[in-house]
Amino acid sequence: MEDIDDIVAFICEELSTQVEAAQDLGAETDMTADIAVDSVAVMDLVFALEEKFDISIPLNVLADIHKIGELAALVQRLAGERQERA
Amino acid sequence: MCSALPVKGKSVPDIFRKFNHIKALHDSIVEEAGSDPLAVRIEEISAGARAKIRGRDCVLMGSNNYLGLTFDGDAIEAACAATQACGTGTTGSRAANGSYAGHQDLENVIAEFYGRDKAVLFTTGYQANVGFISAIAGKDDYILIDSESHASIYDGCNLSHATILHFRHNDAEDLAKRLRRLPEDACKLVITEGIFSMRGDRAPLKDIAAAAKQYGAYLMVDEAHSLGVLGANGRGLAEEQGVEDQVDFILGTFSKSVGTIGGFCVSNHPELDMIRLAARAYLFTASLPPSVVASAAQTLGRIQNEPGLRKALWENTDIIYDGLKTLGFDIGPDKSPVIGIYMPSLPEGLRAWNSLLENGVYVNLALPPATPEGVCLLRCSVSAGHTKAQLEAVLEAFAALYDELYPSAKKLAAE
Repeated sequence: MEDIDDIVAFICEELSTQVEAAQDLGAETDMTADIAVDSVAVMDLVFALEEKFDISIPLNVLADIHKIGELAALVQRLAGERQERA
Repeated sequence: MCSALPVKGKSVPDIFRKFNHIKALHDSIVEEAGSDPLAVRIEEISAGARAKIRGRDCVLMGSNNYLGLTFDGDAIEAACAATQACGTGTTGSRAANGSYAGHQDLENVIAEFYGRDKAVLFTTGYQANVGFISAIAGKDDYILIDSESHASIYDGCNLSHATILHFRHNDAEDLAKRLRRLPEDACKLVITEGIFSMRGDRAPLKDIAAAAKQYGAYLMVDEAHSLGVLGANGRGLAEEQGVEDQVDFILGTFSKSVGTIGGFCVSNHPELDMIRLAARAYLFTASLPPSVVASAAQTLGRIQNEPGLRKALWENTDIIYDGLKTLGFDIGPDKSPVIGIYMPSLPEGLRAWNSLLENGVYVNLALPPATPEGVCLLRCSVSAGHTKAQLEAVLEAFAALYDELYPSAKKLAAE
């Protein structure tokens, strides 16, 4: 199973280009309320996660995700399901 | 800004307060552009892509009237005759009020046009996508959409209970990768578009169809902007790329080349009529009025029988697309009658749009989230109805605009 901290770190790194350098990003960061990530950046982030972890993230699940930690947990679950199928 | 309003003596939050950020953005756009680009009043409209806006004669370069048929004499006559015979509207849905003969006849016309067994009409192209997609895909199904899909496709997906995945824009390999990850026995629907409405690029349909078929997925193509524009007979991208037999569902609209309004789905699937019983956008809305049905049937005949219309459209497209490119504008990679011109920034895009209008050229201002990658585009749509003199005037206005937008390029050229 993928390590949740590694996934959080990957997301933070991807988002770091979108936000002010001084901002601390972490599992509790709310991507819309705290750092105002726009829809284009979300799309890029989703593509990057899908590429990195060989998963497909359903758009209809994304709507309920706000915190980086929640997104990381979703990625971890989807990657786990993929490994089970393989 | 919207704030708390008293209701029956109590202070409650304003229900419109959720729009505060949109209002602020809209206000800034109006201020920058000098007028509201999203609320342009067309004071007069006439054949030949001409209109009066702000008291000035303008060439319409943003109408989607690709074949210039909105003033087709036979279509107008047919619409008038249908109104005289059947009235101005149907006042209800076909399930409740019944189908007029014209509805069923038009379904036969559009099915025959595409060489398909069945067709279902919708009241608009938007409703065709929303109604069809939301009905056809159930909770155990998967829909895979291009990441730059039209809003109606996204909305149809959101109303379905299916799992929605997107693939990178026009990337058949990325689609194949996503299809490979899905359960083999699940129903999968791949959706793409003939011509994408903002930048005018086309889907690589041969490759997308090959990927869909390799993984047992159904394929739907929205030919809204390609009907009448692509293919020897005007049937769109699937005809042009020779893959009609691999496309399971074609969706389209009468509101562009056909010059009126309405949407449709055509297919050879024997159960297509189930959509009439399952699509809420079919069941719970009034059907097309007789005038629209009659003019659409008339115009589809012209599209089918007059390849000269498409020839004229593409000649005009050559002039504008090549002309803009020669001037130095950053435009989409595929030549098509839909031409998206990248603006350096939102404020410059607003000023450019206004400057063109002041010079008698109306184009669409396309802003995020309607545009890909959050860019600001000036969107042109070329018409077979444009005269050569109009196109020259348009290019002159764009040449002046280029000098305004890129003064350093003008200076370099002069040196």
